Amino acid sequence: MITRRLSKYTAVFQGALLSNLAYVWDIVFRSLFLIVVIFVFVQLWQLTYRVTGANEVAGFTLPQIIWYLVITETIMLSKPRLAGMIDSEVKSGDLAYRLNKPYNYVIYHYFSNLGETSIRFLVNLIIGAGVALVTVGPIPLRVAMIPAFLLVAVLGLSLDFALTAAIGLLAFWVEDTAGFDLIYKRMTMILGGMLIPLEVFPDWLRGVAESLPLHHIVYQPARLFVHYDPGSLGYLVGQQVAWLAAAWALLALIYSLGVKRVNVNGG
Amino acid sequence: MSTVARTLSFVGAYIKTNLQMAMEYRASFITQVFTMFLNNGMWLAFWYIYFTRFPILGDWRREDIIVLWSMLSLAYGLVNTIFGNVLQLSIIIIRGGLDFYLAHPKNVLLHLLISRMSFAAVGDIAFGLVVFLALTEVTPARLGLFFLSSLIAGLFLLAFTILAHSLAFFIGNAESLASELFGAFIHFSTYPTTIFGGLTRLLLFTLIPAGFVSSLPVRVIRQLDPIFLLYAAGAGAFLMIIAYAVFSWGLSRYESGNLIVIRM
Repeated sequence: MITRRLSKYTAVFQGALLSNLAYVWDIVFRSLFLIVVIFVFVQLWQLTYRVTGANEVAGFTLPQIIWYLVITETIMLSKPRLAGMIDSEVKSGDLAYRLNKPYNYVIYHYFSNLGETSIRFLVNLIIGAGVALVTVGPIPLRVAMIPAFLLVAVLGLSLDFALTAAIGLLAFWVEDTAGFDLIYKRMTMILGGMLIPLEVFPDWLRGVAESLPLHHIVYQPARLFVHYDPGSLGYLVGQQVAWLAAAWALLALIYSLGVKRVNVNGG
Repeated sequence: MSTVARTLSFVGAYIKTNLQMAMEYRASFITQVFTMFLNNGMWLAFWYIYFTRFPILGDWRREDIIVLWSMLSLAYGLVNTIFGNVLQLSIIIIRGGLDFYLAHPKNVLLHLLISRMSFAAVGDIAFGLVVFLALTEVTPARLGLFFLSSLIAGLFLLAFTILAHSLAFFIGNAESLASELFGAFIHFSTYPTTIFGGLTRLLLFTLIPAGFVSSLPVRVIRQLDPIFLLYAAGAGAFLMIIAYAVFSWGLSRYESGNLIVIRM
């Protein structure tokens, strides 16, 4: 029973993966902006390290901070436009047509979203890593880090999915959710550590950032990539799972309340 | 009435109508303005964090980056409020949407650009003014230079965007390319010029002239370098002339799509 249920969502994941693979060059073209972003970061941090005269800043060497930023940008630029899509499905009534389909609306979107994100993630990672290799060279990586990184990144993206989908579903009550989505993205950008590692923050702001779930989406996967510590992995994953459970509970609540407001008329 | 007065009256009439339209959807308008304000504020937060840890970056200090963001926000806001169709230019060209403007006895490019207003851009204007007045040292001279620099930055922004989107006349679907070029221009404009050197610096004062924009806070507003001010204003005007010439050249190649447009 569970296998059958899971298999239909696996098919959704594969479908999203293959349909995005068909337009992979379009994704590559859209990802070229990442070259500009990473290049500018390299210029900024090269001068910063030169001015400070230090080999390490907040525990990061120059190559480490650039690879950290490659990962944060890869994660952020891999996320599809989810909240806007759910918002328009709610407002257009498309959601109502999906309610009688043999799948759960939210889980369907989760796997579809994961499929699309996977392709974008791979393309962005290749492009970002290419720029980092050319500009600052490689950093030492451990093979054991790769599965740990993938696990933490998937958990982070799942957490992001839950929060973003919840924002999109607010369209049941508010006219336009684009503003909430933009604020959420910008908060992730700063408090999630996308532009700058949390170690560089003033203490008070770091405390604020660490008390929110956003750093589990961007900062933690990127930090693990450059500073792999097997000893703290269990604690990190435990925290991510706890935030994920809370976010999914919120999403389920919003969905169940929202669906009650759907009116289906014949015709 | 002189040509300049007639043109200003034409632009003014469109701004008035667009603002009236925005006021029809007051809640949405206020939300967009507010979110854009917050959006820019988050970028400023990044620089706050950076300069708290590293107070000096080349010849840049925290106040310079605040001036850069307020100046650029005001410039971006003015361009997208008055010439709100500029970011849609390539889509309009590709879809054959120029037919409507060609049938009117007005300048096609000007009419096209002003016929839409970006409501969110009003938030950029508000952000630029509030941040400059509240977070930087304000003297009458600096305020004057701030407005002048914003106008020059807006000139670059408008001209470069017209050029990028005019590619649609020559290569067809240029929407993505124009968007990438615009993104690159904005991105380079928001970082201190001092971080770039060599070939990149050359590029930023020629092909992607974002270097002129990002130099304005230090070279003009802080140091009052009259040579650079003239140089930047001249380069902005020159780029605008090129943009207009390229658009006009493209327009001569434009083929109608027989698109029927209903404007309400």
